[in-house]
Amino acid sequence: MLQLAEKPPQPQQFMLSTETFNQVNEILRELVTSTRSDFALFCDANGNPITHHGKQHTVNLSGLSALAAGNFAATSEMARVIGEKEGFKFIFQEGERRNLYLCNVGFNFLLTIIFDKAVALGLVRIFANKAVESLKGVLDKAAQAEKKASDFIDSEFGLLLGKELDKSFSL
Amino acid sequence: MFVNWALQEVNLKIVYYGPGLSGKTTNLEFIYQKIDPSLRGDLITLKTREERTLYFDFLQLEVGRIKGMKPKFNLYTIPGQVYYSHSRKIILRGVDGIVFVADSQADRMTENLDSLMDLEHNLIENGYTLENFPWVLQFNKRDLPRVLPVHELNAKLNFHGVPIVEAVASRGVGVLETLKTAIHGVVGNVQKVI
Repeated sequence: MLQLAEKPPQPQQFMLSTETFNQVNEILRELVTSTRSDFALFCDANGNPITHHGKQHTVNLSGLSALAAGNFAATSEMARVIGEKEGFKFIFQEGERRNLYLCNVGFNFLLTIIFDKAVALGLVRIFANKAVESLKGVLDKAAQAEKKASDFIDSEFGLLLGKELDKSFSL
Repeated sequence: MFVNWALQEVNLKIVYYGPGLSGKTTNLEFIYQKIDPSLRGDLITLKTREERTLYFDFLQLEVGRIKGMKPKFNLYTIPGQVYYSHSRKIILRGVDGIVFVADSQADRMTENLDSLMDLEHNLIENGYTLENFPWVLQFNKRDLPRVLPVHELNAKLNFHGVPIVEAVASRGVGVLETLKTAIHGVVGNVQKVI
């Protein structure tokens, strides 16, 4: 299942349409409700957060996504090193109060679920597997994005970006 | 690049590459200190007990909306030490632009060249070469004694005529200029590749 390290590079540009985004959100909502998890985070395998559902409070989602992607890639390599060609099916981390469950959705996406110790891991596994299948279906069928990056990233975009960067840095 | 149309976000990944102790993490630390806290996330560092980068450092920056879109920049450093080769390959996945932080000291030229070759090798695995990818050369540690002159560094490292920036990252000199140059390179490349 975890074969990221064995696969060719992911596409360098990925567009997620609003329709697909809404469908992903609905799947996460169902997952969090069914498992009574704290929250579920959907990100890409490069560490870009895409969306989440639940009570994430002050959790830094961009940081969590980067770490999930790094952790996932490293664990895939550990699987390869010990000769586990199909990789591990999921990563589970047990905390004092909260647990973390991490699995891949195809080759390009990751699903992270944070849940209370009181919630059974088996329950999370069952619903996570179901969510992964639904997410794969949605992503496979995802229509091409209605726009291209070149529609808005042009020389004017570059100029305006330069001005914004100057404003952002308190030189 | 990852474009999320529902949130009107453009995510771009910029990786700071270079030999160990050339100042990659120092670049990120300065950016973290300088940028308005409302426009950045936490600086995440995965270090060894000796304060060397073990896996990567990560910092997300965002700027105001441009043409309705919100650009977000995900900055990563790689661990420079030779034996973390696999970590570097993983971190380069999905990269949109590179800052190569070279150590200007004369006795570090071999390490600079080794790291540059390692970068080229890893880029090729991702379907790119240094010739067709947006990257910037930062000549760091310009304040130290026994640094090579810029024209010599340029002759030895800049085979493709990419933009160069002189820097003293520990004092912030050239750090933001490097980042801006890299971002402009990425934006310029987007149109070329689509």
